[in-house]
Amino acid sequence: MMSLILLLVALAMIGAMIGKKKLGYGFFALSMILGLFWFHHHATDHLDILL
Amino acid sequence: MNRNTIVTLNTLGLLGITSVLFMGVVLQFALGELPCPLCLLQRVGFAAVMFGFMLNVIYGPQQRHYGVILMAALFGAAVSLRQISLHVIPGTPGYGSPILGYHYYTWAFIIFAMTISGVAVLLAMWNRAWERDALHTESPPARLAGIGKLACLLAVAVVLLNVVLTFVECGPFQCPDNPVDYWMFN
Repeated sequence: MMSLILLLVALAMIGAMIGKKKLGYGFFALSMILGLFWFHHHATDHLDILL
Repeated sequence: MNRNTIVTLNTLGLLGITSVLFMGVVLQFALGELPCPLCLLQRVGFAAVMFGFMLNVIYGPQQRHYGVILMAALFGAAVSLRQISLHVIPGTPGYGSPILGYHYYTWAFIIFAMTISGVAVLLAMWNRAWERDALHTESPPARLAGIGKLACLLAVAVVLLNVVLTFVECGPFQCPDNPVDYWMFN
């Protein structure tokens, strides 16, 4: 899953380099949405700490 | 400050963040420490910031490109702050070895904060004449040569390297909270 998010950013960069800027924006937006979803998943993890 | 100087500053920004991401890979092997899920999300943030800088290098400075950098840097800063908060309580050990006194995630937050500040300065130097130039550089990339092209190729190579390494570590599954070995070699 994490490698997929990084791959989407890489595809966005490649898209920008070959002149497909809108495609790049699309991959970037998708990577941010998936990144936020995955961040939310990890940010709401149970914390194993003693207070 | 003219447009070419701003493009040069963006190229330096791209090279800087590329070296940060590459340093993460080098330290991963040098210290034998695998990145945790939040560490990998910070790498996603760096890669996304690089995408924004790359747009400015290829197509020239545009406000939309700075928006991309800010969104990516805010994402990365939020992730690194979350990880700092996990280790902020006294007696809670940090994750990984400290580098020059700070852990990776603290450095990541500092770099994301510096990126946001740097973009604020670059936006303050915005020239209205560049908006007209932007219309002409929307479709095919402007002729890319020299250090700009090298910076873009390096950036793509380092992000692809991270894609491969992340797959080797986690495979298609959720990465373990405290990884100790690579999924592919296990």
